[in-house]
Amino acid sequence: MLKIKQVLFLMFGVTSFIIFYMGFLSFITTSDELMGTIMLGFSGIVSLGTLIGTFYISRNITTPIDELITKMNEFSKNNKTTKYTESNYGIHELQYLHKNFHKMTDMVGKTIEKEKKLNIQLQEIDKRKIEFMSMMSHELKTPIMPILGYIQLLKKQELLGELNNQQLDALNEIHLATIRLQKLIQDILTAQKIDLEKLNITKDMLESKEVIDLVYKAFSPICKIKNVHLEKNSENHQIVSDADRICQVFSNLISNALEFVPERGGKIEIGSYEQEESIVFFVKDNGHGISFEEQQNIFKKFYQVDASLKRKKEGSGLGLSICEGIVKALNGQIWVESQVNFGTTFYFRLPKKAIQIQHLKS
Amino acid sequence: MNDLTFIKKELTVLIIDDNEQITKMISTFLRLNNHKCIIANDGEYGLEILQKEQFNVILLDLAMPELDGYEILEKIRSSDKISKIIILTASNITKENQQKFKEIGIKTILQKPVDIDVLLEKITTISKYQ
Repeated sequence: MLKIKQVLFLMFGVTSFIIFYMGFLSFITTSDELMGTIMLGFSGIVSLGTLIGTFYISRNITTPIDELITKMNEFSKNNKTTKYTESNYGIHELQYLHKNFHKMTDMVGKTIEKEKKLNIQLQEIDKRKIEFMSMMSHELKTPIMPILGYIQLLKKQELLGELNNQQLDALNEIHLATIRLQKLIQDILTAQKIDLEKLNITKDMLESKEVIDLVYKAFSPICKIKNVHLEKNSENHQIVSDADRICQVFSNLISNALEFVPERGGKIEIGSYEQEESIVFFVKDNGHGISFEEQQNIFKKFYQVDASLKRKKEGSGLGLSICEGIVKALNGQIWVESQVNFGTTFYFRLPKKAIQIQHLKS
Repeated sequence: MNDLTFIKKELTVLIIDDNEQITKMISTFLRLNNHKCIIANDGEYGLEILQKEQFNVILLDLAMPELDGYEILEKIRSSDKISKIIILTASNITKENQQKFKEIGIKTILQKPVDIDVLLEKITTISKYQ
């Protein structure tokens, strides 16, 4: 690439050479010796003048540009510019450029400083938010423990005495409400952890059939109460993943399915199968299905298929977004297949070998 | 000795938890199941009685004012009593701490709220190892 200096010297050097050469030509061709000498002297002076002029101009242009380049390099390295000193470059535009470069870097430098301070403040707020969250998590879970404990105790009639049917009925209602509250608290805390990318994930060697059996065992009683037929259908494969988190996804998907299956003849099937290097888990129901438009939105946080306050279905609207967050943290994908009036199947695929558990901020 | 005769064995359980409602509920439940309970509602008292007396099982809360569960564990980490401890906590336990607990010989960590039947089952399991 060419430098300004080289361009200038090339242009004016050639010009001054031509002038001098023409003077020289007239000196050797003319018969008038005096005229020839004058022409030679004149062309010599003009070409010399051009050279000196070129030298002067080039210095006036390139020096400030070089300085500007040095300053720019400095600025891009440490975001700090040297103090502007009034200097006279002789060329107005360059002088102006210098002045404004200083103004600009000054402004950018100040903005960066501000940004840094703001960043520190934000980190501080974030830290306090996390502290608050862990405190709240503790505070919210603690009172649930004696409530649930005493409900269970009262239900053990051989320990605390017989209850009449109405009392038992009341106790059952309290029990259901407490379980709902407990699930809500857990949902909110999990959703927040997913947001902060602080979800705890453990890696263990699991048998997919055992996981399905565990979920089956946990949900059989409630399915029985709700008169829903729960079926399991699982091949057995080994997978390195987090059993608790997989159960949490299943729990959310089954809770959803329970809301949507018909009151009579409701059917839910859970299971897993192998697909290449992954295990696909599924929850299939014979509910009223999800339309294609609704399928686009169901994984969004707080989305409810029927968002009206009068809706019959219960839930925070966090369930599926939590499922998606957990599945992503386990390096998997979740998706839905559904046909209106024919039922819905939720699938989630997890890698058999947890290649690299998503790096979690500590 | 089969399981049935074992369950009938009376166990002495120490509960260290600053939440009085929780200690009262658990002790009521355990006493109704014919076990003995000693309650410590603060860490200092818990540690003192833990060092002085013998228990079959120790339920330990982690987050407590003043002397907390972590500090108690630190102070008794070389004692054989560590294998009798069940951690019962409402706070989140980091992976590192989980690992640490495993290393010092704690087998059971339960998250509040815990099903009381599960709690009883874990208590009998722990006492079986002794």
